[in-house]
Amino acid sequence: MSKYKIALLPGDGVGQDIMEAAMIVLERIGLEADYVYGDIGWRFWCQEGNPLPERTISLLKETDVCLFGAITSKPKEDALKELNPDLRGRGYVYFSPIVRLRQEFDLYTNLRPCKAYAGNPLNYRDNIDLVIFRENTEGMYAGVEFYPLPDQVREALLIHPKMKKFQDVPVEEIALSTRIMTKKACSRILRRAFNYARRYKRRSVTLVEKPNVLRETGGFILEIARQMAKEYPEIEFREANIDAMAMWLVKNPQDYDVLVAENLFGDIISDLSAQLVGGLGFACSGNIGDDYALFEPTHGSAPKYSGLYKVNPIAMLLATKMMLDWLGEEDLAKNLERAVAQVIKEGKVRTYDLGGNSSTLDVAREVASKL
Amino acid sequence: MKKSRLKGRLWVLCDSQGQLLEDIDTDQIYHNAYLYITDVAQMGQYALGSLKGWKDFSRKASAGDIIVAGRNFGAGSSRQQAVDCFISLGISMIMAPSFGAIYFRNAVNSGFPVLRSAEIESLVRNKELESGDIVKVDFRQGQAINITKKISFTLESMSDVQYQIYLAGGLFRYGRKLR
Amino acid sequence: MGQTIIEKIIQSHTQEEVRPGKIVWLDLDIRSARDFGGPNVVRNYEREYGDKPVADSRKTFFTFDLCAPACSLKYADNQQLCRLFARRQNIKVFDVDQGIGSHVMIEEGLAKARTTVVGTDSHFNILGAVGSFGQGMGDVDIAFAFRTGRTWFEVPETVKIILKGKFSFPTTAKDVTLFILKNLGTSKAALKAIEFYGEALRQFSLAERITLCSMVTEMAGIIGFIPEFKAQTKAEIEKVSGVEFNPFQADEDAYYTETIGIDIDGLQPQVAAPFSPTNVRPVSDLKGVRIDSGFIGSCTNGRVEDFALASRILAGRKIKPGIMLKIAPATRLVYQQMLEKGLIKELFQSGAIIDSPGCGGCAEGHIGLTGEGEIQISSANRNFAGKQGKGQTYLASPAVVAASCVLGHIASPEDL
Repeated sequence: MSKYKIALLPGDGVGQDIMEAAMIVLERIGLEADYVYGDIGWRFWCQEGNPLPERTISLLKETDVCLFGAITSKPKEDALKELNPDLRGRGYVYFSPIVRLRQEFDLYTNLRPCKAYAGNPLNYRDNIDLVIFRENTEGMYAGVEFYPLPDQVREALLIHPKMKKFQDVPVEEIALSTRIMTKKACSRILRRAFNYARRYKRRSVTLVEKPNVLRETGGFILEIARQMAKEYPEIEFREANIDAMAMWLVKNPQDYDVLVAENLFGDIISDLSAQLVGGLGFACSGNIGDDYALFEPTHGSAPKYSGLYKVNPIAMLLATKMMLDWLGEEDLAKNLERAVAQVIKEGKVRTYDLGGNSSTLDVAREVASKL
Repeated sequence: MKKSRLKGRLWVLCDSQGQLLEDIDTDQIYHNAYLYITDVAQMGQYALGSLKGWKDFSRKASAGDIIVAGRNFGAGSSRQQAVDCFISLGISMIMAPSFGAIYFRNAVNSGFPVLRSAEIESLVRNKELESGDIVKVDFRQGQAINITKKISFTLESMSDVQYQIYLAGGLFRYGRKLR
Repeated sequence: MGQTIIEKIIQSHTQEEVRPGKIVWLDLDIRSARDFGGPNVVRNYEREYGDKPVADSRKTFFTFDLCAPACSLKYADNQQLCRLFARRQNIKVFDVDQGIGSHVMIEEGLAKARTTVVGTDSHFNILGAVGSFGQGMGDVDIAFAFRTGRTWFEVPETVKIILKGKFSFPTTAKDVTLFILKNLGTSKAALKAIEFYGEALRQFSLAERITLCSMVTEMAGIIGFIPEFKAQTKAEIEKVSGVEFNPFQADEDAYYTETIGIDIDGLQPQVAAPFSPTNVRPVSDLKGVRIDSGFIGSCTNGRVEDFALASRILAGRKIKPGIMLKIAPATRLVYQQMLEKGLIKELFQSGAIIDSPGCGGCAEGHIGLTGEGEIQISSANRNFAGKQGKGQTYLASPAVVAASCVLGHIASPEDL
């Protein structure tokens, strides 16, 4: 038996291409692991009416960690149109496999490191090294939404004086989303962020919120953060409004270290931050729970590039590096990151987004050669 | 989340000469005197409390630790507390060449991993498994490795029924899923 | 391929393929709980199933025997809790007047040949004596069994034991049992079914079959059967139980993991010294060990023949002054038989203390308890350290117990 058993979910489109790239590197890096492939994505929605088959969930439970490629996602009408005709009318509904995996395995941390590697022509500035902890399970994405608005909900909301203004709006002319924050979820994402900052000796942890307007939910997480910050006196705790943060990330991103935010705000600032260091070709992420994790590049399946080996694998390779860190293989992780940084710096082997014409696998092989 | 691959620090139940302790009965695991306790959280402190040489086990063990015992672990009468006390301490599994029949059932029914391995006696004799070693076990494959000593060994893999009960979190929950 | 006895019993209670090592869902003919384990069965049941009915109240029973009648407030509460549950569920209770549950199951014809019976008694495999697959389980299993009438079970391998030779007084079935236990230890038959063969066993009465089958637990076995029996024994079992005795026999080509021969010719009485039932020596090795108290009874040696034998040895003699001999018949029926044969009077006059039928000799909190430094000789089946207090217990036949109580030290009846 190998030390690790790793689930590989390539998914759709370029997911297959970049998974091959990851395997080229993993084979060279000297990780003692067995790999198993699992089914996920659009193809299985079409064929089986289920983009995340039960057998894949069972498979993941028998592994230590998961490396995930990309999946194709389309609107509801298209999903129904592309479903296998034999399965139509039987109540199959498309759902996001990634969201389901987050829930099933309680992967409450979405970790988005954004680092400007030297020599990357797409770097907005040098010395950007941001790490974003985005809460992955609730907030604005808890999914408690209403359209049209049921009477009981409207009735209940009228307890609040400010609802009076909407009392008479016709039912089909009003939509409602909720922002739900719990002490458990807020505490644990903050704890992860602070512990990370302490472990890697980062100067500051910034909570990105809007407590002056969203008094109840914003104020709620702010209070928890302020209390927790007292336990980390060596770390500077900052509070930034989401709008101001958007400005600071453009103005002086190099002054920030660890950012922590609720689901929606985290989504926004991590995509912004990723763009500052090269965008989709470089953006990697980890979905991390207490005893399981799933690592992926943030880009989608890019169907029009599917099978062309055109896309930049660096996002996937950095996701692989995150996976090695999470497994505790720090030396291997450092080795991989060093190899990636070297390839970026030398600038000889580059995919189209960097102005080059190397293939996905060319880049992977170049990284592998530097291990 | 229930996983089929667990890693933990070992406690090998042996005597002062390093011989595996065999036939550890449920009285030694959890004494009569504490049978009145019904709150699982209170049981951990008495685990192995009557086993000579191991009476302070509950103070030394940490959550995630793995116990290795000699043959016929859990001999004697059926008492659920003899399993629950280990759950209380967060012990992640027990491996032994064999278990008392009723003890084994009680553990399976609590969703607590108990695994049999014919190799344990020789591994302990050859000092290839010692207390403090970090071991990783895949109980679906029936394989394990001693990460500290870089030695692999095999176990009897968990049967489907045992695994399903484990995933469900116990016999009653499993029963509900069956229906 | 042919099947062994346990494979046949399991096959007749499941739809699945039966082979050793495989786990199958087993239908249970009888589901029971004692005052030990019963309260937790009730708590589990009510927590998981509320007031839903048990799968079949006619197949569900309580047997109070551990602490009968209740000897502590805790057991008084436990028994009452079970009684109330039984009333709500229309379940029959064999109450504190009845005696050892496994023996009651036999007498009531509930544990018949070829049936599957579960209870919270680790010695329920004693029912192998009447060809029934009895098994002790914990309170989670039993609560589940009450509700569903089923349990999961791993089909055991079977070993065959063949006894050669004959024995005679002062050697008894208990001595043969202890000798077998010495040979097998807790590993040779561990987690397996056992089939015992041999002419000596074919001659066994029901009481003797019960003695041997009761200690399969101490051999770490799952169940033991004695497939050969003389006509008299069949008649006896049918008379006691009121039902036909027609157990499964193994097929000619059944597969046994191992066949072990044991020679008992000329066997002397045996004694198991502290602190393990497998720590068996000939009584001559232990002659002279001073004792303080004795016990005759338990599920192993609690039938009327056991007491009749003890009484014959005590006849015309007195228990040595200062020695306490305690006696507990297995069941109310046995007590009645003892009364009819005048055994109660005889044993009383020898100096014995007569207790209620039940498990009192072995259980925590009752007549089998020993104080620090006390040495007890007992016809029961367990002598683990601390089990019955801080004293030491030697296991032996009722004959050896009686003789030892007369002399004040471990002795064979021949020494009298």
